[in-house]
Amino acid sequence: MRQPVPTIDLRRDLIGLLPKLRRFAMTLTTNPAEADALVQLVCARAIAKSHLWNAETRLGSWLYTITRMLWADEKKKRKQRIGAGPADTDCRNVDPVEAYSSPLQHLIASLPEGSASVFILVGIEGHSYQQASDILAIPVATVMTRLAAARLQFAKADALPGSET
Amino acid sequence: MSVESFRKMSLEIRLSGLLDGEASREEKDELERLIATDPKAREAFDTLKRGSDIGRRAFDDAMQEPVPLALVRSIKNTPPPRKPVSLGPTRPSFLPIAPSGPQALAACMLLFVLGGGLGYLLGIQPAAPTSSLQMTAATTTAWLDDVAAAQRVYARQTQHLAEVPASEPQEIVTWLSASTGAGFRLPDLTAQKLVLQGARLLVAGGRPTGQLLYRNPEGEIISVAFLKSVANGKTLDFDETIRDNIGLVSWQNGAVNYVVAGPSSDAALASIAEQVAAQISN
Repeated sequence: MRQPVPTIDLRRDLIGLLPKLRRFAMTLTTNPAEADALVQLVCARAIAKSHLWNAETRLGSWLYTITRMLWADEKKKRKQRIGAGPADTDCRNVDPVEAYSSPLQHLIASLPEGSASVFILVGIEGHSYQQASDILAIPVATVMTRLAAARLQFAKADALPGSET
Repeated sequence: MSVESFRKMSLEIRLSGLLDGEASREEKDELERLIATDPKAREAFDTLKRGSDIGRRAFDDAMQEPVPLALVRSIKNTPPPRKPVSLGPTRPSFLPIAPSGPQALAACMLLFVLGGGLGYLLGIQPAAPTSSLQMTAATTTAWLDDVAAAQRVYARQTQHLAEVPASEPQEIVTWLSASTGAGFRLPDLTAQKLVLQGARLLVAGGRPTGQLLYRNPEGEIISVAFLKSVANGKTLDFDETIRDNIGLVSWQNGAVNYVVAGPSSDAALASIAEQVAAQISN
């Protein structure tokens, strides 16, 4: 006989994870308003699909994967709308004075593309290379390269005279 | 990743892997030997380590930014997941034949006449009284509105927050039990970092309501209100709602209605309600 799938109410856990989710979303969107909109979308999706979450895995990992997937979908839609080219919201493509409205945004913009997400997952939250690779859908070798690049960039920025980092 | 492909990577990447504990035993020994003997390797390792510490601190500082209240509310207001429904295998149609156009039209006309007649008969009946269930729901809503309003007013009081202070727990229990008709025990919420400040008697939904006031480490007031209910029910289903900036988690146990009220941005309201429910019933 087929066992019924239990329903789980994740709302309380999601609220607790909001600061981390926003930080991760910022590494993808590089825009605070879009990061919040993305997080809202992720939370709604996670609540609706909570029966798909395997409680033996980290909730954060599952949410990060959803975040990455939803952002990839969004980027795809934008490319279809405006034609091929870089996403118009990437703060690396706009005037720095306008772009760096928050310290987090400044920090992410100072790193090579894709390095901030990897650094957060492995360097801060302690995910393994394989887990980060699964979440971001990139090869393990890319995870390693981006992580080393982020570390070197942080050290380099710190060594510059008058650096704030 | 194989040892061979790991070796092909640049020294910085390999040393970064060592920092994360991702190098194999063999690779680890080799890199540690290199760090001990080669000054360039030592310097690269120290640089990576320093970069890692700087990055961690910088991202942690950026985490201090407050989460927008609208985001918290949007999550709280998202309806909880519905139970997945299995539709099961498709059953064959009860009628093996499809009705023709005139047959379908005749069936529609028949249903229309029957429906109209039934509606007319119901329409000429005197209006039925509102069901007790509807009355109870309306009363509960009015009660919650009043509790939210009281929370909004009293939570701002600094000098005169409570009518009976927390230093008189016996008086709180005796007074509010007698005034509301609902026996209770004072919940100890120190595990939730909430300190009892005292109690008040409110009029909410037109009826006497007891209110216990607690303060959290941020200085915000979290209150527990209770009311002797008209209907007796044993439903420990927690219902979470938001009235502007006030979050409410309500439930009923036996003949008493309870609600925990606090700032809607407080993520712990539901767990506080669970603790209160476990302790407050007499």
